[in-house]
Amino acid sequence: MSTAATADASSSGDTTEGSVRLLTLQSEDGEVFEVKETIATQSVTIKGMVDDDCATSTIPVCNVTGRTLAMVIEWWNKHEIGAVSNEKELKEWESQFDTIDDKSDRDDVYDLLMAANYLNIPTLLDCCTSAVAEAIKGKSTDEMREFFDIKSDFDEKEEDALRKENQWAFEN
Amino acid sequence: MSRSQINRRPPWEVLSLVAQLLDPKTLAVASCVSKSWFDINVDYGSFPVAETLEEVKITWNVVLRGWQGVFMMIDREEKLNLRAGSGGWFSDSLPSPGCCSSEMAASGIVADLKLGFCRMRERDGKIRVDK
Repeated sequence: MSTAATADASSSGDTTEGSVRLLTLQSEDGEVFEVKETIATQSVTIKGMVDDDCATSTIPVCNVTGRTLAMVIEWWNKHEIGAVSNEKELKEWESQFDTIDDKSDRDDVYDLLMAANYLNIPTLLDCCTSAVAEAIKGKSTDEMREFFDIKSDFDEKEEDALRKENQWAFEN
Repeated sequence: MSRSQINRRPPWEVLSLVAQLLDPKTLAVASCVSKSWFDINVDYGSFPVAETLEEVKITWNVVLRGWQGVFMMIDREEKLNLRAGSGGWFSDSLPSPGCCSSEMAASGIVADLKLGFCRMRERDGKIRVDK
């Protein structure tokens, strides 16, 4: 991942690189990233903090791991104005996030989706929700449970009743 | 990958986020996955068919008794079908209390609001909200 990770967290997250203001983000597992404000404000959440002058210290991104935050920053970098030469190139790059072929892809997209929701990044959220919706389209209940690693918490009677209620959806 | 996030993932959030992109059948099947996959009722018979979608802006404010405080739960626009009998979901993340606390600005809590329309007045096209 091509991110601007640094080893030590500054107590003041408000630094500059040239004339560009840098924000310091800290993931839930302690990884620290210095990111240009112009990039990080693709997050509506962070933009709100910047606008309210609340981004002057290290910003803890509590619900996102360093690995996922690095992917989010990669997304931001690619979506910075001028980062790619044309829309087609951007769509081709985005395609790695909008298909789910195996559990590893699923976990990455799932983590990104939750991070995009938490940080309020509309473009990333749209991409990830589309990928998940496409991946579960047409799946059976058991296949969805497997996809999301969910154990059924219904007893047999409850599940039968629910299936009867939605019988039309289980008919071929 | 070491996934500390997996065990505390609230799966219902995923359904909440992708529900608007699912077809009725997939959504109905998804609602049978587990108990927390809310309580989503899918009424196949009343699903709108190929109607014009219109941008609807909704704001949901909660006011504490005596005007001690006002919270904005949802303030967003979605494309909805305004046909009588149709409706739509609105979801928004709630901010954490106090912008300068050590917490992030978002709380990780999502406000969900379901809007249902019952009838349209023919003379001026105004829609009455059912629920």
